[in-house]
Amino acid sequence: MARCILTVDDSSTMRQMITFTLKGANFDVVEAEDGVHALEVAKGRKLDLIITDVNMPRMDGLTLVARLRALPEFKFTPILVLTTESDQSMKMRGKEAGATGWIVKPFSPEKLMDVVNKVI
Amino acid sequence: MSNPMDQFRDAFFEEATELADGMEATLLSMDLTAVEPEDLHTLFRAAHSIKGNAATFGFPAVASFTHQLESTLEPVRQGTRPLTDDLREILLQGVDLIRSHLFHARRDEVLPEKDQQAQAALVIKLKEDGSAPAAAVVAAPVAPMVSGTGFSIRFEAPRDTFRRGINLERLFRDLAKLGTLHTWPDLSGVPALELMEPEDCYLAWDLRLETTRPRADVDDVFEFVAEGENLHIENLPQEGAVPQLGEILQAEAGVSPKDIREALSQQKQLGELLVDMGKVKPEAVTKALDQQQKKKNQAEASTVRVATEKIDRLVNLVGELVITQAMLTQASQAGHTMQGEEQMSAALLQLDRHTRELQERVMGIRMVPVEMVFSRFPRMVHELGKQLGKDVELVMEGQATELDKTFIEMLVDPLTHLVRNAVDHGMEERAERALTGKPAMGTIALKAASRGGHIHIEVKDDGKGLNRDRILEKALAKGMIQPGARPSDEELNLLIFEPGFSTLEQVSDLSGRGVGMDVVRQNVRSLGGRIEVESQPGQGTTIRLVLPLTLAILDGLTVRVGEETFVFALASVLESFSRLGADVQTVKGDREVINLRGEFIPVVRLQKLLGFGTSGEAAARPLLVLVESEGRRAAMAVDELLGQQQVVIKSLETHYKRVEGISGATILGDGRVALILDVQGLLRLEAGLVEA
Repeated sequence: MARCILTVDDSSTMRQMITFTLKGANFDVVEAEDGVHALEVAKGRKLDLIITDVNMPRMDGLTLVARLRALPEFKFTPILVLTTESDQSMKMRGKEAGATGWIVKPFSPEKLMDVVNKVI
Repeated sequence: MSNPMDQFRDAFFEEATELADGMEATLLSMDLTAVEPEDLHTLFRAAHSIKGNAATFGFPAVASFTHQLESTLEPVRQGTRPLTDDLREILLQGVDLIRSHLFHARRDEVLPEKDQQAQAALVIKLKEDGSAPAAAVVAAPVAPMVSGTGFSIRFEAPRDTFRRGINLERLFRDLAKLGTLHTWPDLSGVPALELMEPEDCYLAWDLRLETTRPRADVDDVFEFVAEGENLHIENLPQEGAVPQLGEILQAEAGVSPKDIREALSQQKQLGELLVDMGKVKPEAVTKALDQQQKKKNQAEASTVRVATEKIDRLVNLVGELVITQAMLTQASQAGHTMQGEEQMSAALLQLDRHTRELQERVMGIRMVPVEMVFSRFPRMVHELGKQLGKDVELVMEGQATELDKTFIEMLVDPLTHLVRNAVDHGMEERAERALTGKPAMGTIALKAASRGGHIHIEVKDDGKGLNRDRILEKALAKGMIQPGARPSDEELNLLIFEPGFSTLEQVSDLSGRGVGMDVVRQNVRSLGGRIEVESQPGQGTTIRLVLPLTLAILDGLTVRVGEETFVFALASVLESFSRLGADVQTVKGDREVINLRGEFIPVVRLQKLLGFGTSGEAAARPLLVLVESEGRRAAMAVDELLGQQQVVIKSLETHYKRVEGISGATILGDGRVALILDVQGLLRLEAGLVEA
């Protein structure tokens, strides 16, 4: 069974790019538009990795990470946050929220796969 | 499609345009007297998304401009900057510009001139209104690219490793991909069962990674778990370096680095043990350690690294010598026959050639490039210039010139003083240079060259030059020259090397104590060298150190005085001539001077000066040897010139004691001992400056 990744971003272009890249690497991908949506999508699903943007309407990425960690089934699931280079403190805040790691924007499909392979 | 990103191009433009439209709608619908925080977040998010996507999909111009907008919006959404009517107007113009950016980027066009100007004006307004926007992209620090034999790593996993979903197994697998990985888990951090938090990670590892990959690759593997103190990465020793015992035990016997650290920490130093036993005071141990360090330093200074190739050449030459010796033996057995004579002279010729080559090559072992001294100066000049507020540039030449190792060590101090002096005193202040029409950047040239059996090292500046009048004034005041004396420029210039001489009233922090120049002269003299000074007012000063190639061998002129044979260093001999026909005049009763091309030069009687033989014979000596040292000249009266030859210098001091006027002794071909004359010392003796 292919491993499943949830990608969360309010930008559909970004989601498309991530989904396209991951599917090319034989992952199953599910998408969500923001934190609230992500929690709904994740519910009852077995996920191997979650990739989330930080700035999103309704619920931002860091809150999402903390909420996922509070759920028994996602306590130890790898979660990557998408952050911008100019925002170094975001890495620290991501860690504190419980994120496994980060992908610095802008990134190429190759870079995305490098980081994904690093955590799962 | 060549670029996989291309297929998202259209999607990007559509979404970005939608986001820009959304920003405009939000801005227009906002009631500025009662701003909804969610509206501000929406605005910020939109700018942020456009920026991030534009950068990802390859539209840097869009990204960098949107970043400016985002930076302006940040304090607004934080509530530290009010959203005024003006600001709304500026932001609306910004949205228009984003649209224009997108429109043109989609057609692969650059932003039109008109919009570029509008953008420049707008960016200023964004800045004027609030704090300056942060730089668009902060480059991530780049780890130094060191490639070596590998790394020794100590890694303590963060407590929250599991809770952050970090896969340590994955991490080790990635590390192992880089090279050969040895792991020693350290469980000492795991607490007793009742104290343990089951979701915390207490593990640590000592790792040894043998790889030629750069450090950055290793750092990358640890990216998500490095928290500063919990990760130590060190380079393994270079190939060929002698490894520590612990290193070998670790690599070969699998002893864990932790055990080695523990064992080492228990190991006490001898001094510590003795102090503990009450056998010695701590101060005594400190002193002894200092002494040991000094010895170590000396030991390091007294060894020299020699290329194997040089040694191989020597071994070959010794082989040749053995063959030559066999030839000689054979020739001597052949006796006084024609063939024997021929063989003998051929063998001697070969012996001569081989001996000479052997000598040169053995001397070559001691030779090191002058670069070793020079290399420290660029930094020093740079810093001196900064400190003194002068623009100085250092030019170096002939760094590959080889010098005896002893010289290199003894040249460090003199050259440092000379270079400092050149920057501090030689170089004019900026304003003064400008007045005299010189280039603002002063130049100091450091040159080394090999010239006819000597090494010349020059420190040359294009500064103001030596002040002749000041030196004269000072020398008179200090009693270094007699009133009414008219010293030549060269003699006068050399006075700056006299002990206690300094023309600078204000002693600066760096030089001007009159100590440095004295040290320069002393060191150069002790190396058997001399100093030359050339200076042009307003043009600069050149100080040249003229050094012999080596200390151990001297090109000498052997002369006979009475029954004794003496050697002059050829470097100090100017010429020799017959006393007959020379214009010798007697002054002050018994002293003689010779009028040589209008210059009066004292005639020195060695036997009187050194106290041997009878003094009356001087007049009988038929030859005069003109010698010079530090600008002073004298004619030495001798009986016979025996020839020119290289002599090996034997120290008189180590076998007897120091004698003024004599720099050493040598053994001649016939086994007799000849004294080597120290011209400098002789001239001082003659001038009555020192007692024999």
